[in-house]
Amino acid sequence: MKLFKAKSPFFNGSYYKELLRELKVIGIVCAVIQLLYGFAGEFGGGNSGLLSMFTIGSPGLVHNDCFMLFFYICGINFLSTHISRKNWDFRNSLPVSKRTMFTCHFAAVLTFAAIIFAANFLGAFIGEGVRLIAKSTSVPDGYGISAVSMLKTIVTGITAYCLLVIVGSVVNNIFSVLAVVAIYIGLPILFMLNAFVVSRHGVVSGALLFPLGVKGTALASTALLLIEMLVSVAVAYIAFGKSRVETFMKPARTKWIHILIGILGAGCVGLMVSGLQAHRLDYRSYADGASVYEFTPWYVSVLVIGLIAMTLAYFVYMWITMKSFKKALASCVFAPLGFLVVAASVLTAVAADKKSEKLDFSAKNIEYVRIMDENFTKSGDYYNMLPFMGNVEYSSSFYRGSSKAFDVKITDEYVINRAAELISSHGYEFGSREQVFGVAGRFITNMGQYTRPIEVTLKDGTKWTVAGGDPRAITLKHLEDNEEYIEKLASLDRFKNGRVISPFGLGSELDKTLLEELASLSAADRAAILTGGRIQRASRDEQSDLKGIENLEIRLTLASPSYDQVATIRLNEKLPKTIKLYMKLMTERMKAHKDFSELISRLEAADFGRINTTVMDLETGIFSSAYIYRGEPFFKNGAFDPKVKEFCALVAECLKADQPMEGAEHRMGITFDGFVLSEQRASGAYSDRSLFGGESVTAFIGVSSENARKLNELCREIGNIEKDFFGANDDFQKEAQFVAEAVEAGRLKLYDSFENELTAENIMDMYYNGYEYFYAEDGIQKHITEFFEEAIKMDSENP
Amino acid sequence: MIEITNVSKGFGKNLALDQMSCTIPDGCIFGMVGANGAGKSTLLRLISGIYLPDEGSVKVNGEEVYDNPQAKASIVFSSDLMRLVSNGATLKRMAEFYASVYKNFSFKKFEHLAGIFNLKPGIRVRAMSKGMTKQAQTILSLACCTPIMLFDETFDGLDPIARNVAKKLLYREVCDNGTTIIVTSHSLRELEDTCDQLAMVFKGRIVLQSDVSELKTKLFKVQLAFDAEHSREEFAEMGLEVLSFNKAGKVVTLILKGDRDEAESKLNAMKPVLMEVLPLSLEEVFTYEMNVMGYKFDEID
Repeated sequence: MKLFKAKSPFFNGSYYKELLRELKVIGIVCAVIQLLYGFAGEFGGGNSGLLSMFTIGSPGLVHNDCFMLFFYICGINFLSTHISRKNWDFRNSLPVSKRTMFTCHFAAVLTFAAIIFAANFLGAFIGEGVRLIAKSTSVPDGYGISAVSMLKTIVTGITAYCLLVIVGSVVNNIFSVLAVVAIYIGLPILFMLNAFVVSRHGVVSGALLFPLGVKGTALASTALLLIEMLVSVAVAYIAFGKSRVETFMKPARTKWIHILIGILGAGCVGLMVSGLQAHRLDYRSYADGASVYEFTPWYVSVLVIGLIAMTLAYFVYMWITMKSFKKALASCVFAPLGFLVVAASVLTAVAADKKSEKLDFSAKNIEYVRIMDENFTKSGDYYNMLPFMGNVEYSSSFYRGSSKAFDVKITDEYVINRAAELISSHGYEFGSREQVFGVAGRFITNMGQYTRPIEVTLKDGTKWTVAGGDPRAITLKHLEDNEEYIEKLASLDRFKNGRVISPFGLGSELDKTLLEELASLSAADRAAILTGGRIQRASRDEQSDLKGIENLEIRLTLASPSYDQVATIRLNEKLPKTIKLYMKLMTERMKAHKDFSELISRLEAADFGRINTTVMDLETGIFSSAYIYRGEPFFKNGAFDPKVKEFCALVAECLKADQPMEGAEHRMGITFDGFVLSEQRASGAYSDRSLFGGESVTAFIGVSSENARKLNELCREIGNIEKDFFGANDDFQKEAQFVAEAVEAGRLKLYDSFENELTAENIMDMYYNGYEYFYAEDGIQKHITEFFEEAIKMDSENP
Repeated sequence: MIEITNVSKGFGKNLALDQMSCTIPDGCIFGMVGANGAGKSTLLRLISGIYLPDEGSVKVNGEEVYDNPQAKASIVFSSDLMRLVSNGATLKRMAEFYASVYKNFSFKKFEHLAGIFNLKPGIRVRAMSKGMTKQAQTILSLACCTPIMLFDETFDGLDPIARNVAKKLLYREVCDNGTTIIVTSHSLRELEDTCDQLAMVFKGRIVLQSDVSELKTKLFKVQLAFDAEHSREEFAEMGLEVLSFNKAGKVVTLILKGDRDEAESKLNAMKPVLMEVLPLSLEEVFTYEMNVMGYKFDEID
């Protein structure tokens, strides 16, 4: 039989158009979904904006499931229309050769893939426009669809599509195809679902279907994916060209196809299983955002297990369908060859790993180290500012952007040695591995997510990222001595001709004075004040952040002319005179306001609808927030909780005392981010009225140490009232308690950012107050593992 | 012209066609009759290029058909079950699909034929009855305007009126366009007033192929009454080819093969009291032919 008849056209335009019509429903549905993804992604749903879409290797959640599903459905469509025995007569009696049918269908699939691809971008463009018009303050979560990941999906999708065509070409029966496909794809999906908790890929992710594609470097990965795709297309083209309905499930006639499909399936299943396991156990994250799976002996075992499982499943399936043990056995002729493929794959993996291992991560080969963040100050106050910064700082796009912003090359010997040590010991082992331990592990992981990865640049220019827990604390400590870094952080050049952002506005003269005063400070002092000074990001994002900052009364923020760099000024004792004046101005404005006296009386009488109060201790830098509302758990039997009353009365007393900050035992900022009264009307219904026109107000005052302590304590206790009330349903609280108990029992040691050992009480306090950043001794991983091993042991001993 | 030369086709252990050979001339209605599983549909699938023969060749106008779009462009195959482009396809949608692959597809003819059968183009095929589906398939095939049209069990399920209409349309197609039409059926009665040529397919072989008119004139039944009894041998000695001999006393019924006038004159020479020549149905003709060839009657549906 000739496969490539010269007289047979390669393509048939009218048949192609017909196939477009057949696929249009699924194509349009998928395009609309991807369009919405693209659009929604602009608002934080899964896309960090166009900028990241065009940057390579955006890691994390990729909303390509629908796109991948499109290829599966197209594959099934091809099976049902061109391969199933039911339709065989109809299609194959037409004056279109089989290979033309395949090329036309393939072209139609590609056409819709392109449309879907474009729809996603269109959605993103529309979203971008809407965001700009609406000046949305929402911040994308940083994970998203990038053009590269979409293209990867197309490549893997085509491969999956071709796999279906290949399988279908052998069995010619839609039900049988689905059964075979279930073996090829369903089995690994079960594994995948099992591992889904720790997987960041979608259920039908191409990366998990073809993990070979994500092995090795980005270039190798791309090349392998392309080779996979091209081979699949070629095999599908030939297999369908050779397919004959009358040879349905006749191995004698299609032995070579069975061999081919067996090898393909065996390799695929083995790799899928190994990929999943590897994903779970040997996940690595590199500087370019690529994820790779480390080769281990376990990798070999699961590869072989996968092949054996696949062979057995295939044999059983053939036995059932052919009703002949001998023929079923004959159909598994691929198995030995499959093992050869597995062996080849293992050897390739070994070779690839050896290449990795050849990278010299010793201190002498490290050029410099960079912290993938930049908010470092001498006193560690950065951590206290975290709740106000929001999670935007933890997005991958932020890392990417920020790393370029400062480009501070840390050549500190200690840091380099420490980085080398980390890499050689357990540098790659962070990530989400702890999650497999269960709920308590999640709590610690949630804390762990605030860790900063470090980027190591080798002398040959290769960059590697090490996700880390404790490297941050150690490197922070040593950063203080890095003059270059401090100088860069404290540099005011970038704010020249920029502006000072403040809630009330200081006026251009005061702006100028402020900058002059800041410039007169030493770099170290300035670095201690400029807790922001971060980010080189898209100005759009920056503006969103600034808007958030503006809403926080107590902030003063310096911004570059293009808004691409900002520095938030921390209000402390090292402030220049202008800032002190500014604080005084804010306080006076608050007190001079017509609503101030009502505020005091309402606080004293504990008569209000809801208030949102922040107490900032300028000595410790600790913020405590209390959101109190007229309702349970704060308001019972027609009155506020005694603690609420006590807190309000104390706040009123401190405000009334009007003690200046200068010379006071303690200095505090008290902010009301909303003070809403609830007033009963004649009808009996309550209506809301806000003091200060709904604006936030802050007073900086001097207080006694006793009052400062009480204010802080009461503020936290009020926070605990709500947590206690809803605590029964709060898993996170349970997890915190679980961890606290472990600390109390001495089974786990945890430290704060000042390297002070934490008590169980500290942990619960941190939990209640959102201080979710502390470290396990000598890195999280080691101790968590030991801790959970112990916990599991204890559980088994005391069920 | 369609040339089938020593074609064999098997499905596992079953040999559907066994060294089959036949030639189907252009511009005729060629009927194929045979029991279920005799190999008729397999032969049509080979001619339409769906199957690849295990042995032998199937050529249309000198070209192999299998996976040959050029050769297949001259053939339209109307399967025993209608397949659709999509579940919700209408008759018009099916016509559009056929038009996309058959260059000579005529929408004018399609609409005309749909009008004859009173089928609305907008009707969903899935909603049609079995008979309507057959009509739709016939319409679509005829509208393709290919030189060769293959109809598999097309008349099955049609009501008598629709069947007659369909037959007339086939006649007209052959007369007007010189189209070659191959029709299969397991019932001779369906085909006897339709076909120019008939072939009997039995166990994967064509056991008999002939012009219908020739078949009908060569075989005839004669009923004779004599004063005395006569044996079969006496008729044979007179040079008559007797396919069947039945005697009831002095009344003899013969099935004879050969020239009718010559046979009548020979029989008159025996001075029968009564002689009557009766017409044979095509079914009877085939039955007797098969018997002559040694096939058992009850094997034919």
